[in-house]
Amino acid sequence: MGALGLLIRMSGRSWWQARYADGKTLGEWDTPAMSGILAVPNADTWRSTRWEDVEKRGMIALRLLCPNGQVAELVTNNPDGRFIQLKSGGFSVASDGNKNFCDAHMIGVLENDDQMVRCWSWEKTPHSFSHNIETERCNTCKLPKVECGDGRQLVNFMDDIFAMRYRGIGGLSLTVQGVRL
Amino acid sequence: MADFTTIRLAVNTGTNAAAVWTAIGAAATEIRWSDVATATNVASASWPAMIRPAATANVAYLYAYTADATNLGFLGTSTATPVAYSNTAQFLSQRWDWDATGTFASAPVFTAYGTTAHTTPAARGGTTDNILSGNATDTGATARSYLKGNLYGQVTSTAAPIAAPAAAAVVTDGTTGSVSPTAGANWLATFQGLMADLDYITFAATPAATVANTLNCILALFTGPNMGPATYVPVITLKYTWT
Repeated sequence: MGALGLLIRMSGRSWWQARYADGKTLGEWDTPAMSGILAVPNADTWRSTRWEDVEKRGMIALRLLCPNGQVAELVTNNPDGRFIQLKSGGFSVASDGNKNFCDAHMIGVLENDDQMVRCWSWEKTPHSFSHNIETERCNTCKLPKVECGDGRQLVNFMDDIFAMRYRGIGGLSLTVQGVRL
Repeated sequence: MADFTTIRLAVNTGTNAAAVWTAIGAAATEIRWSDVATATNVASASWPAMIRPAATANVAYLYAYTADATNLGFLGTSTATPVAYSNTAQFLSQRWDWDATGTFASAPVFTAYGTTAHTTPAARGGTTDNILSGNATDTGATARSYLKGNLYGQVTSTAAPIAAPAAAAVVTDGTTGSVSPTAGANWLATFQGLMADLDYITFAATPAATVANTLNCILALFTGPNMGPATYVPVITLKYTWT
């Protein structure tokens, strides 16, 4: 494992990395606002660079680097605003205090000329930590206890950019994503 | 950094004409509902129990607490005792606040969960632990949450509400899935049941990037003869995406 992989694992969160047609790459950690965070990992800091400010022209691939070592990559032959990147979470007002949470980090690429987007998502929805003592399986995901990742997993899916069903997100702001349809 | 440093639910302990907004949700700060007008400076462990009513009813009094036994005031009034909830007296009672550090990637969602685990009820209805899942006898044939919400169709920087929703909340209010107010100076025509990821309210639009703003909302709680006895601490939540 390289130094970057180790830092990503230590950060406890996923990060995006873009690749351009001219061979250059841009990592989420490369921007001034984020450079200190990856160097000094903070697992609870689910903040990112400003995706809306990132140059989309010439972007031919987008990766999602996950803290368990997995990497998802999406590519396109049309390097002109075809990728999306966002996090999903929220803010809860609870009797035991406010809670900010992030339960998924997504990347996606528009396929063909329609509104369908192929996505990868690093999910971070903790399971209950309980398991069936007879079957030794997680009560949430039903996997054997030793295989349960406690809700941390990389998944892929197809969705509609105007009405994302994934986690009830709904329509994405195309302006924020810098997407061209 | 594109996530928000601060997102808060703020409550108005003044009036519609002279609002006094205070953010809640830090440790031991919360909104509490009661059917009595005398629950001032009461520790949560001693919060007065409600007798389950013979018929469905609105839980009339809303208190804003900033510490376990420290009452900040009452929603929708600056008087010494709370006023019973009405559709018009408290239309400026709550609002979502966010700062200028973040960028929403989609229109946020206003809902409620049973706990901070953010799980969705396994099914509508029931007779135990059912403040959000409702009960078909009390809250409608398709059971709706006892906790209702309404949302305004534009951010405060455009214009704050100047009038109440057209219709007061009723116990059977609710629509399956997502509802949104019409963009502009509009409340939802009827309240929505707040039931986790089953019934919820989506903002009319994606708020502008990196602009601090607020958006008014209203909460109303009902109870009924088929609500399961329990200590309920529902978690009011703003679900959102960011870049």
